[in-house]
Amino acid sequence: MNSNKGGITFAAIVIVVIALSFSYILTTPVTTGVAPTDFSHTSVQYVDLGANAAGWKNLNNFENASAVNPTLSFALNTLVYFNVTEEDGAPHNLYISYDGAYSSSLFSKINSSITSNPAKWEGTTNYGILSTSQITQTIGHVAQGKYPFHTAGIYTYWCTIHFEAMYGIIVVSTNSTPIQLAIHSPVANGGSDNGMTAQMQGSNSENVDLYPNSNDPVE
Amino acid sequence: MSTFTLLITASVVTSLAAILVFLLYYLAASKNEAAEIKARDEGYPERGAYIREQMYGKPHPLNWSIFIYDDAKSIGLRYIFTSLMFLFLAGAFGVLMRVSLTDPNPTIINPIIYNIFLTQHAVLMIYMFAIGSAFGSAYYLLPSYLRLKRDNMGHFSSIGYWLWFLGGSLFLVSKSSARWYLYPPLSLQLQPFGGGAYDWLAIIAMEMIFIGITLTSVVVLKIIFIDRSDDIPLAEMPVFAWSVVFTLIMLISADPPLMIGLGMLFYDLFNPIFFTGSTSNPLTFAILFWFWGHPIVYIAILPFFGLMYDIISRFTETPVYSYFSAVFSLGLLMILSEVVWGHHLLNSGLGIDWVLFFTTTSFLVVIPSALTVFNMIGTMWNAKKIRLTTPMLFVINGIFDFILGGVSGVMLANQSVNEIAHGTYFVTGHFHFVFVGVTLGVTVAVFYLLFPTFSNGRIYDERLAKWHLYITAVGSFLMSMSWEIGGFIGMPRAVAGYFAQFQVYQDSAILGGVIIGIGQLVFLYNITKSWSREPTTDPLNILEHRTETNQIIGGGE
Repeated sequence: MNSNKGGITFAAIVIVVIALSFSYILTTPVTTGVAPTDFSHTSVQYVDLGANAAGWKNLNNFENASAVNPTLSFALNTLVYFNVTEEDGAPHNLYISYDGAYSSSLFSKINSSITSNPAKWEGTTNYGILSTSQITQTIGHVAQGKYPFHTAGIYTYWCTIHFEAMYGIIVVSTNSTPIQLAIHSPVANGGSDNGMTAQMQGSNSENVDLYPNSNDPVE
Repeated sequence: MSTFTLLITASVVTSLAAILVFLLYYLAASKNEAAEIKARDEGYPERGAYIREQMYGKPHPLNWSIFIYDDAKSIGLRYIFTSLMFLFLAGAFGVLMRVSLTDPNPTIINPIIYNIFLTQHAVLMIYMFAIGSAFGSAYYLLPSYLRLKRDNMGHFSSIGYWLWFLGGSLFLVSKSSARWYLYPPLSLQLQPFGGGAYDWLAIIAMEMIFIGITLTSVVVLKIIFIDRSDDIPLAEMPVFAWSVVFTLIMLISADPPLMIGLGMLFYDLFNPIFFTGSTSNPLTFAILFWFWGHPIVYIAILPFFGLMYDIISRFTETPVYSYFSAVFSLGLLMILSEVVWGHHLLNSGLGIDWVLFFTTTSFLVVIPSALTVFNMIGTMWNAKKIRLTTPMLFVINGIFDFILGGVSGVMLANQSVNEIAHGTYFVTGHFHFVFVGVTLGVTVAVFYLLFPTFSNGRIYDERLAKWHLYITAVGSFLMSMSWEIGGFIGMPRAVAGYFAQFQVYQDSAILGGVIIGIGQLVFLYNITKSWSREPTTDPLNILEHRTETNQIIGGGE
């Protein structure tokens, strides 16, 4: 380095660092894309899910969906209350992200694996309906979160801690009647998973005796 | 991007980075080895002494090799220039935040981005600028002050520097918006409305900074206590050396609680049992934080008090008015800093007995602070003449700002005042008076004094330097005073908007903030311009070498 250029070099480094930092920070995505701005709705629906590290448990047998990781189907502008029951004492949370308009190819892509959608890992395009501290690790505790579905299309819901097992799909129709879907279950597809499901149902029946689940909203 | 592509990209980038790091390491190791051999041939005790003598003992251009060699002066230069870079960066964040508040509703930048700037401004200013500048001055000046016998732990210093630097850079990359407290549950919410999507990285980065500064502190304490020349007894060390000793003891004793707290916080991301579980309380983290959080604000000013004593005594050609009370008050500040942390949580429900205790200890801080201020004034009072060069004017402005900031700090220590003033701009005004006046002012003063040495005998532009001083002083006063008045009326701090009734205070604070920003641009321009001239003076200077003559090099033309 020429000794005459020390000051210019330093100033250049400072200016480059400031410019890079500004462009890096100012381009931060400032909306989650799915964060609700208002809770206006035309209908209300309740979904009871059991938080279990093996998969989200379908507690109110919603729309004849599968027992684990049910695919939920709602009409547009439905305010959905998620009543989540802690089942295994492990930390859980409930996150949601919007994947796009409904198409069977997108549906099967997301259905194959949650890891096929890297945008979910970033945490900037998703919204936490229930946090880890809200779903306390007390077995049987029921936490309630709500979300208004104002955009039609496919959503993914999952637990960020047990994302490999605990994820499912939400389909919101473009009109006031929910789309009727065949039974879909991302995890309980294979034969080996069915065994896990049966085992989990067994453990669930014990829990139900001890801590009866309530369909009523907490409010 | 599919997972497969992501993995390929990540592994290629990691490999390239590893190759680069290895090359740098190879370069450093071979250069240091060569210096070691030469040093042994020429009869130096170790390579640090040889490099110091060769590079800094006589005119030698400052160059990139400071990042390769690991003697104390090279490490000091690394710290000084890195901390200055972070000063400009975090200052730019601050000015942008000010400008975004021209309208009561957040229109210019989004509140989420405002929170990111708020967090980054605080962390980069405190951990990267203030601590970096303190370490830089210590590493650069202490070898000359204490005439070191040996300088043989440079590799530890180097590791400390890189950990500190990488930690700060990663904190910037994390785009954390959890503020510098990192309070749970906010810091545990990994989304834009919480601590930011990458807040986990912020926690790791903070731990890296802590490991780096702890390592560095141990090395500097070893330099002062063990490597000091035999003919300088402890009781005759310069006040700056004492202030560094107290600072580092404070740092080493106070940072373990937060290091442990950050570890717990990181665990809470996966399994919230420590702070946000059903049987725990986030206040626990706040207490762990402020065990460290109060000493850190003293760490950011104590070394600069030491430098102020030194600069004053050089420019007045008078010894410090009372050496004993100078050292004693700095030591008292160290002890008191460890027992006043609760005044940051006076309204958090600690209980009235604790509040009384912390209020009392906070009032006690007045004693050493006033001793320090009167001691500095006494030194100037005794002087036959005072040379009002730019560094000296910066120091005088620092004393003035410290009095203003200190008085508002005493007001805040009163529980009944604190109840209405906490969480308002009054607090912001209080610490910006002290930080802009003392930390920024003295750093800049030392930089001006050492400029001929850094630039190999070039003299800075005195006129531009004076402009820098006056612009910074006026802007700082305008900004902090507007905050104090507005804050006392109830203007809440750390938010992206405000109520329109506070418009006048915000507007004048914006004016002040922009004026400070312009002042630092003058500073940057001065560095660039003066460095481009031809060398005209001897690179030795009064801060580093005690000269017999009245010649004050670095005091301008």
